[in-house]
Amino acid sequence: MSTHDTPHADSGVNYLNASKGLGNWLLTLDHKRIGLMYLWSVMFFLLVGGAFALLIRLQLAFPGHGFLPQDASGKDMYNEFFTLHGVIMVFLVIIPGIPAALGNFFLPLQLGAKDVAFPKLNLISFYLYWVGAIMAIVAIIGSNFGWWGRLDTGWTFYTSYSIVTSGPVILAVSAAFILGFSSIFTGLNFVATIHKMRCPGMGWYRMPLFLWAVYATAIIQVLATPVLGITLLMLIMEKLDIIHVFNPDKGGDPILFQHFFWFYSHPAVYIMILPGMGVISEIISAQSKKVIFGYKAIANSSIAIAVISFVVWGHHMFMSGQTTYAGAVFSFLTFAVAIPTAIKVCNWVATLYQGSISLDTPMLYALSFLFLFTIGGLTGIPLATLSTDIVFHDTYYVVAHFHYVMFGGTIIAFFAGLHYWWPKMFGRMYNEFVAKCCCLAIFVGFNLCFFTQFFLGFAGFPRRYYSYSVDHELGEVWRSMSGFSSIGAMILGVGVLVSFVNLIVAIYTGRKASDNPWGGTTLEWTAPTPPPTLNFDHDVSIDRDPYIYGKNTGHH
Amino acid sequence: MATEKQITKIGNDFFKTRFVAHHFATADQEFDACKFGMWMFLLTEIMLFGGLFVAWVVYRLWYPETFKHCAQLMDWKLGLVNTCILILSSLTMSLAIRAVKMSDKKTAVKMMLATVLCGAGFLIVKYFEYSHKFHLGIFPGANFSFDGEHYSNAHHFFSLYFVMTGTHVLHVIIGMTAILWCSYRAARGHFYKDYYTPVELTGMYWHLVELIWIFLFPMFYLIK
Amino acid sequence: MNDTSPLTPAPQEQATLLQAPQASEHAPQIDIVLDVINWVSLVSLILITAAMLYFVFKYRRKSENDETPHISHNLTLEVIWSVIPMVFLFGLFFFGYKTYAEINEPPANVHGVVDIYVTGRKWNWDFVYPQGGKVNSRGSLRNEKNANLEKIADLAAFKASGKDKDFTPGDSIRLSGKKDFTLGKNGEWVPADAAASAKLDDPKNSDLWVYAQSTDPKSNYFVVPVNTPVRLHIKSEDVLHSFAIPSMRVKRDAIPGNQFRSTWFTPVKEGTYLYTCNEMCGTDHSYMIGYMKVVSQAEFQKFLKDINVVDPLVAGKDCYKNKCSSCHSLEEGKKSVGPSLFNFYGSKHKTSAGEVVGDDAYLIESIKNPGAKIAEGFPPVMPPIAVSDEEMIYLKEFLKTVK
Ligand code: HEA
Ligand code: HEA
Ligand code: HEC
Ligand code: CUA
Ligand SMILES: [Cu+2]
Repeated sequence: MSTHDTPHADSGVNYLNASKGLGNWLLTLDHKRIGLMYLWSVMFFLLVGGAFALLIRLQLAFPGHGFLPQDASGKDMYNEFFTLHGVIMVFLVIIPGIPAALGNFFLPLQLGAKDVAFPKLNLISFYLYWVGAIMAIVAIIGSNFGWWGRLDTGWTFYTSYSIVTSGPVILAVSAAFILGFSSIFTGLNFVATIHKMRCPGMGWYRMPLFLWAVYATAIIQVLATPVLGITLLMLIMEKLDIIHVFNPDKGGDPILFQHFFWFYSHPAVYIMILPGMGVISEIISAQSKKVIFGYKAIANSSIAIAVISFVVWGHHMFMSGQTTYAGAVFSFLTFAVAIPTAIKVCNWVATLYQGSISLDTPMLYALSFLFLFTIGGLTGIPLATLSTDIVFHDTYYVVAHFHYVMFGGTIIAFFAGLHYWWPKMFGRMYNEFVAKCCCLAIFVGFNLCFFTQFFLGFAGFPRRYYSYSVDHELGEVWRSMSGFSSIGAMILGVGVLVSFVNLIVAIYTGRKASDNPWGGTTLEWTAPTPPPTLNFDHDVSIDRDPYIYGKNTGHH
Repeated sequence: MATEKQITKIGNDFFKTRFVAHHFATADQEFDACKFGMWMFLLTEIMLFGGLFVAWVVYRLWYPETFKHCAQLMDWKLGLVNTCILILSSLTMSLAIRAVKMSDKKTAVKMMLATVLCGAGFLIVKYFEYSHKFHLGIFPGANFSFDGEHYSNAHHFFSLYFVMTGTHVLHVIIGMTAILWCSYRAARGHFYKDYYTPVELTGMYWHLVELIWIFLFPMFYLIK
Repeated sequence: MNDTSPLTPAPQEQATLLQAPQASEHAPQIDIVLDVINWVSLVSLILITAAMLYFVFKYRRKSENDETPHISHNLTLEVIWSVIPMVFLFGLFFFGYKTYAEINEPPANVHGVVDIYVTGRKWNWDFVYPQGGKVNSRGSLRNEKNANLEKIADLAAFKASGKDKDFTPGDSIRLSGKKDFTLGKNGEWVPADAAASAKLDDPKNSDLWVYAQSTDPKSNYFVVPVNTPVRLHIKSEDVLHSFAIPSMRVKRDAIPGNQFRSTWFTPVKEGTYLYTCNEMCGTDHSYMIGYMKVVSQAEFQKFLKDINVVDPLVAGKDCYKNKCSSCHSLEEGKKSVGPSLFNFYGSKHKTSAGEVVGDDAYLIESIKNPGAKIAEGFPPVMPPIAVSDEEMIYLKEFLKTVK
C-alpha cells in the first residue's frame, strides 16, 4: 500500500523520495510517479521510433538501392521499418505522450486534487501500456529470429494485405488492442477526475486550458477507442478464419475495414493534437505574462473539434471508389473542423499582443509550434479537397502533412511542456543555452526534413517505397528532395537526442529551481517543488480565474 | 481488512475513515466518482458492441436473402426463454441493490445468488443452442460445413452470430464473477446503507449485459 | 536499357518542385484549385507568422515587473477571425468539389474512347485492351510478327528470365533467330518439330508467342493515344493496390472483389510517363511501377496490332463454351440449368434482391459470388466459377454481341 502520511515540503520529503526502492515505484498509486514512469517510457520509445525513422531516411537518401540488402529480405525489412516506426510513434509515443505522462502528473495538480479518481486503474493502464509495448517488441525480435515474417502492413493494418501477410499481424494488432484499453482507462479516469474532483471554487470555466484539452481528448478516447478495439478484434478473427467480414475472397469487403479503422483513427489524430494545444495555451499565457485571449473560445473549440472529428473519417478514403456524394460530405465536414482550429491559432497570437514576452526555452518551442502546426494544418486543406487529393493521396505530401502536425505540432508541444514543467517535476533547472540550441537544431532539421517532402508529394513520390528510380519525368525532384530530407532527419535526430540528454543531466546537476520559475498562475505552481505525495501542503480552493496576470487582475 | 464485527461496532464513522480512499474528500464524492466512471465504462461497452452492430447492419444490407433464410434456422423459443431469464435476473439484481441499501444482508446475498443462477441458466440454454448448431455442421469460420438447404453465404450470418453472442456470453461470465464476488463480500458484511459502491457498479454492468441481449435477440432470432 | 521500340515520343517536360507535368486535359483544372488553396494558405501563414514575430519583438520582456493589460476577449475580433476563414474554407471546399464532380465520372460512350482494364496483383499490372491483347508491367506477350522487341536469344536466357514457368506441356516458344522449342511432359524444352513450328506461324495461337525478355518496365509500357479520352477500369486480383499516374493527375485504388472502379483522363501531350502503385501491397510494392506512352492515333493502332494475340470474341466464346455452356444457353428464352444468357446486357433481370440491370458488375458478381442474387425461377445451384480477369473481359465483349 502506498504511504498515508502527509509529508511536508519543508521537511524535504517529496514524491520522489517519499519512499524508496523499485517495488515502491512499480506499485505506486501516486499519479506523479505513474506519470513519470510513463514519461520515461514515452521518451524511450520516441528514441526507438526515431531510430527506425533514421534508418528509413538512410535507405532513401539516394536513388536506387540504399544500404539494405537488395532482395526480398531487404525490402521486407524496409517495410518493417516504417510499420514499426508508425506503430511505435502512434500507439506508444504520441497518443499516451502528453495525456498519460504530463497529463497524469499535472491534471490533479492543476485541479487542486490529491490524485486522479481511480489510482489503481491508473496503474493498471500503465501496465497495460507495457504489456502492449512488450508485445510490439516481441513482434520485432521474433521476425529477426525467423519466428514469423516481418510486420509489413503499415500502421493502418489495411485488409486485405494484413490478412495474407506472413508478419505477426495478430500479435501487433493485439498489442494495439491492449494499448487501446490502456488509453480508454486513462481517458475514463481523467473524465471522472475532472467531473468529480475539482477543488472547491473551481468551476468549469476556471479550469486551466490544459485541462479542457485533456478533457476533450479523454472524451474521444472513451468513445472512439472501443471501436478500434472491436475492429482489431474482428481483424484477428478474420485472420483466424472465424469470421469473414473483410476478406473479399470470402464475400467480405476490405473497404469496410477502412471505415472502421478511420472511425477511430481520425478522432485519434485529435487525441494526438488536443493535449499539445492545451500545453501551448498554458505556456503562451505564462511566458507572456498575460491573460489568455479568448479563454472560452479556446475551451469550447476543443470540444467542437472533438465532436466534429467523429464525422470526417471518410477523407482518408477519397480514392477508394467512394461515391462523389459521400466524398463531398466528408470533404465538407473536414473543412468544418478547420474552423475551431483556426480560432485557437488566432487566439494564441492575440495573447502575445501587449504581453511581456520572454524567450525562454518553453516559449521558443511554443512559437515553433505555432509556425509548424499552422503549416501542418494548412497542408491538410489540399488533402481534404476532393480534386486535389487525387494528386496527393498516399504520396509524401501526406507524410509531410502528418509529420508537420504530429511532430511539428504534438511532439514540439511535448518538448515545450517538458521544458516548462521540468523544474516543477524535479526541482532542477536544465541548461538553458543547450536547450535553446537544441530547439534551433530541431526547428531547422525538421523543416529541412519535411518541407522537402511536400515537393516530393507534388512530384507524386508514393509512400512506403523501399527504393526509387529517377529515370523518368519526375526523377530530378525525387532525387534532390529525398537527399535534402535525409540530411534534415539527421540534424533533427541529433537535436532530439541532445535535448533529452540535457534534461536528464539536469536532474543530477542542474541548479535548484524555485517553486514558480516562470511566474505561472495555475495551481500546480502553488505546490511545493517537487510536490509532496499528496500534492499540496494545505487545503486547496480557488476563487479566481486560472490566468491572473495584468493590472486589474481577477474577476470579470 | 475490515471485519464484520468492526463494522457493526464502529458504524458510520468507521466508514468515513476506513473506506474512503485518501484522495477523496467525502464518501459521497467517492461514490459519485465511481458511479460516473462506471457510466463512462458502459459507454465504451456500447461503442464496442456498436461496432459489431454496424457490421451486422452492413451484412444484412448486402445479403438480405441469406439473413432472412438463416434466421429461420434459429430457435426463437430458446431465445425467448433466455430473454426472460435475463430480464428476471435484472430484477433480482435490482432487488439485491435495494436490499443492500437497507442493510438487509440476507436478502441481498440471496438475490445476488439468484442473479448468478439466472446467468447460469442463460449459459446452459446457450450451450444447448451452440451444440445443436455444431451438430448441424454450423461452426464459426473455416470449419463451416452445414449442408442443409441454405445459400452460399450462410457463413456470414453465423459467423456474426457466433462472434456477437460469444462476446455477449463472455460479458455474462464476467458479470457473474463480479456478482459472486459481491455476494461474498456482502455475506461478510462489507456493505450496508452507507457503503455499497461495488454492488451498485456491478448492478449497472449487469443491466447493460441484459440490455445488449435485448438487441441481439431480435437481430438473430426474430427479424426474418 | 536501350529502348528498341519504334514508338519514339517527343522530348518531354520534366517535373518542377511545385508541379508534375500537366499532361492531361484535367491536370490544369486540378492545379488551379491547388494554386488557389496554396495562395490562401500562404497568405494565412504569412499573416499569422508576421503577427507573431512582430509581437514577439515589440513586446519582448523588458523587466520582471512588466505589467500587461487584462484583455480577456474581444467579440468583434473573434467573430472576424472565425467568419473569414469559414468563408474561405467553404469557398475552397466548393471549388474543389465542383472540379472533382466535373472530372471524376468517366464519360459515357463517347465515340473513340479507349477502354483499358487495369488489374493489379502482387506485384505487377496487367493492362488488357478489349480489342484483344494485354501488356504486363513485368514482361508482355507480343505478336512476334510485328513486335520489334528485344528477343530472348537462347534457352538459357529464357530459363533465367523465369518466364518458362508460365508455360504448360505442349506449348511452344520461338526464340529470336527462329529457334523453336516445345515444352515436354517432364518440363524439358525440346527443339520443335515442323508441326509445332508451323503452329507458331499462326497468329491465333496466343500461348505460343515470344515473351519480351526484359523485366525492365521501360520495355513493358502500355500505350494510349493522344487527345482521346481514356477510361481505366481498375481492379485487383489479390490485395489492395492503387494505380496512379502523377503527370495525368489520376489515381484510383485497385480493390479485390467483383467491381472494376473506373477513372479517366485525356492525355494531351505525347511522351513517356511514370505510373506507380500507391497502396502498400507487400515486398515489391515499390516495384509496381512502369511507364505509359502517349502516342499518336496511328502509332496507337499499330501498337494494338503488335499486342494482338487473341481475338476477343473468339476468346470470349471459348470461355463461354468451356465454363458456362453446360448450364446456360445463348438462345432467346431457352432455359437450361440456369437462365439463357441471350441479351444479358442492358436487359432487366428479376432476382431475389429485386430487379437488376445486366451490366459488368452483375455479370462478375454472378460468376464470383452467385449466391448473392438468385435469378427468379431457378434453384441456387450455380457454383462460383474461376474466370480470370482477362477471360472475363473477353467474355463480356462476347456476351455483348449475343443479342
Ligand atoms: C496530429 C495529428 C493530425 C492533425 C491535427 C491533422 C489535422 C488535419 N488533417 Fe490530417 N492526417 C494525420 C494527422 C493529423 N491531421 C495523419 C497521421 C494522417 C495520415 C494517416 C495515414 O494515412 O497514415 C493524416 C491524413 C489526412 C488526410 C488524408 C490524406 C490522404 O491519405 O489522402 C486528410 C484529408 O482530408 C487530412 C486532413 C486534415 C485536416 C483538414 C486537418 C485540420 O484539422 C487542420 C486544421 C488546421 C488549419 C487549417 C490551420 C490553422 C488555420 C488557420 C491558420 C486559418 C486560416 C486557414 C484557411 C483560411 C485555409 N489529414
Ligand atoms: C509521433 C509521430 C511521428 C514522429 C515523431 C515521427 C518522426 C519522424 N519520422 Fe515518421 N511517421 C509516422 C509518425 C511519426 N514520425 C507515421 C505514423 C508514419 C506512417 C507509417 C506508415 O506508413 O505506416 C511515418 C512515416 C514516416 C516516413 C515515411 C516512410 C514511408 O512511407 O516509406 C518517413 C520518411 O521519411 C518518416 C520520417 C520520420 C523522421 C525523419 C522523423 C524524425 O522526427 C525522427 C527524429 C529522430 C529521433 C527522434 C531519433 C533520435 C535517436 C537517435 C539519434 C538514436 C538513438 C537510438 C536509441 C537510443 C534507440 N516517417
Ligand atoms: C452448374 C451450372 C452453372 C454453370 C457452370 C454456370 N451457371 Fe450461371 N447460373 C446457373 C443457375 C442455376 C443460375 C440461376 C440461379 C442464380 O442466379 O444463381 C445461374 C445464373 C446466372 C446469371 C444470372 C442470370 C440472371 O438472369 O439473373 C448469370 C449472369 C450467370 N449465371 C452467368 C454465368 C456465366 C458467365 C457462367 C460461366 C463462366 C456460368 N453462369 C456458369 C448455373 C450455372
Ligand atoms: Cu501494389 Cu503497392
Ligand atoms: Cu483524418
